[in-house]
Amino acid sequence: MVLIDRMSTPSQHLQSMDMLSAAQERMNRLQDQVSSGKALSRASDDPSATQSAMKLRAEHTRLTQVKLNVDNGLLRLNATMDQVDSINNQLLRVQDLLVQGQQPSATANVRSALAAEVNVLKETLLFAINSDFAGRQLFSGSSGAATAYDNAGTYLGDTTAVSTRVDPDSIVRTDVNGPEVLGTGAANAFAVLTSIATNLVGNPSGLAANQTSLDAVINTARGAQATVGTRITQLTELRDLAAAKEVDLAEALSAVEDTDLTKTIMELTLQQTGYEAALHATASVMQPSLMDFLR
Amino acid sequence: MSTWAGISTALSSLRTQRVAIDVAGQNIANVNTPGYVRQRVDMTAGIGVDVSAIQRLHNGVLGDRARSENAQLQDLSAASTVLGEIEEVFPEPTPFGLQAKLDALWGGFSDVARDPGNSAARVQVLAQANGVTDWLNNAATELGDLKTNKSAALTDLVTNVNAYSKELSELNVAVSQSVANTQAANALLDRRGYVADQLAAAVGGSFLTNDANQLSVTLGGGTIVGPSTYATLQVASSGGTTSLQWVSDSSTATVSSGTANGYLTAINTTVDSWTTTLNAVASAITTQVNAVQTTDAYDRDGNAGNNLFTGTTAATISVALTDGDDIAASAVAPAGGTASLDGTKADAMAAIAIAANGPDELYQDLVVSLGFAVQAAEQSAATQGSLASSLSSQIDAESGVSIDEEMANLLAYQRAYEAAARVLTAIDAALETLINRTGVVGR
Repeated sequence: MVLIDRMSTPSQHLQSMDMLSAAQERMNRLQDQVSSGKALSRASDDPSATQSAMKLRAEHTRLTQVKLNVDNGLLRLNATMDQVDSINNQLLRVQDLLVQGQQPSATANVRSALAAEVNVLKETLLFAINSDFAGRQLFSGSSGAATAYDNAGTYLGDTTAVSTRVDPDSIVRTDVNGPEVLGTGAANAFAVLTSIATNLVGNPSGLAANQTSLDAVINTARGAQATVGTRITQLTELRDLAAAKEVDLAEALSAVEDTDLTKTIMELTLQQTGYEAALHATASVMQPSLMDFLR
Repeated sequence: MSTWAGISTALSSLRTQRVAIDVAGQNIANVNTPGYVRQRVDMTAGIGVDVSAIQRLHNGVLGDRARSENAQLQDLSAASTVLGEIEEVFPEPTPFGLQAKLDALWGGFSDVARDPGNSAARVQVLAQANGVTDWLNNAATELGDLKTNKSAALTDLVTNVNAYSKELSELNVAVSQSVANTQAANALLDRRGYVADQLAAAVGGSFLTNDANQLSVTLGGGTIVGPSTYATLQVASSGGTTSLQWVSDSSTATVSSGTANGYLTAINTTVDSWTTTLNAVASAITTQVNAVQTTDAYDRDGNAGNNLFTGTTAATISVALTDGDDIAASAVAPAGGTASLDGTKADAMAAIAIAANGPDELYQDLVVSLGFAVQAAEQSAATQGSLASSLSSQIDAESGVSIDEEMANLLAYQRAYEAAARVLTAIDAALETLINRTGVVGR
């Protein structure tokens, strides 16, 4: 800075004006921050913080999606669980009937009554395995088929997993498909039940073999029950995790974007004091002129 | 010594002090006139006193330096303003920026992945895709408008420059015809200095005043103002490059500072470079989404997926699909005529959000580098501004009017005038005694 030994009147005014408007600008900036609640109003205020804010906002959107995914997956798995439970109960009932049909005391009449009940249970099983969630089949994999099984007990779906994203790197399966619950091919529940009903009526000696295949079907269904239960637990934990993460994200975003009110208001008060001081100084510098003292 | 000499001595003082009071009055009158240089009466003693010159207190070297620094400042602040305006096209971090639109789009794909059979989610993702393309189209338009506005501003500026050049050459002629060191000549010089400052702020240039006190201005080797001539400029645009040309022979005039250079840089380089960066974002969206859509992906009707976006620039990008069912969300081919409800491909499109060199990353890089560019431009404009203002304070210290000083001068001149009048009275009284009272003894 060059030492100025002669000060002209306009430049004195200009300097005072510059000083005042600089003080006012600093004050306005702080006032904006306080009234908008945002410390970042444009990228150049703080480019790195802007980038963090953009990343955090994007991450928040993804987390919202994860929460929706997890919630939706849980609903779907819970609905699946209900049906798998009911399927298990029906299979256990069939096992009861099978045991009764093998009793020496079971007459042909009793056995045909038992066979009728097995057929009804088969219908119920078909109803359970064809149930849907929000218009989509629960047990048909990713297939768009209208039902998972047809009336003859043939699987119409596919074995592609239905999964939901819970994290950028991982997905969780939110389904079990028909064969995973009821078994595959000739050993599937419908074939076994059909065979039991047939044998109850006409071939009681075949019932012992049916017992073995029914046990296999029940094991498969129990396995499915356990799998679904595990996935429900997993998703419930993920839901809690996502909720905790959301709080962290909101805090991080606020730290980057929002005004630290205490600090900003302190600064604002400081600037106001500075501005008032500048006004006083200007008033006492501008007023006196030699003219006031000459008579 | 003649009896009357005293009278003319007193008279010369009366005259001189009157001129000095006039000049002080002129200084006070022009205290706020831009470009005014304070004047001072130089007095010499002879028989009595004489006005030898009305000095204009001006430092030419400092003036030239200030002009070139100010031209530099105008260049930098035009550049900084343009960058600030570009930054306004990218309102981040707010819900109105592209980031929010992209977030919505990727979220929309997640919605489809969660429930591929839901046609509402599919329709919504198309709306979100349109939101992204609309934003990009608008941004491209705004950047284009920015260039157009700066071109228009440049044309206005050149009109002013031509007027300044004309006035400077006229002032040169007027100065050469006026008598040096008079108030009239000083007024012409003040005006010439002021107009020269305006010319320098607009286009820069080198300023040279010759021995005959005539100002010539050259611009990159071409003379724009000569002792009695001037050349006019025009804005020319060819092959996407805008430049200033001499009207006389349509050759390019080299501009290296001043507002004009700031505008030229904005029009030819700055805006285009940010448009190119934005185009890379648009291109990444189109390429990466389409790649997923068209690779082993099947839509709701079981057909192989088609391009979702067309166009690889911000201005041309648009959504090619109109039916939500045409979004290829499934990686599983239809079986037995039934389309799959798989959502793997929709999930893959949602994952573009975090892809390396994906649109999000490119866009965030753009916003950050733009933010730093704005900061840097503002910083260098501020630095140059303090240099220019320090120079102008130095000039002002030399040439500016101080009312206090003028008041003190007025006082001195007024007292001198009164004293000279008293001298006249004293001589008059002495003569009165000599003429009327002498030789009347005993009458």
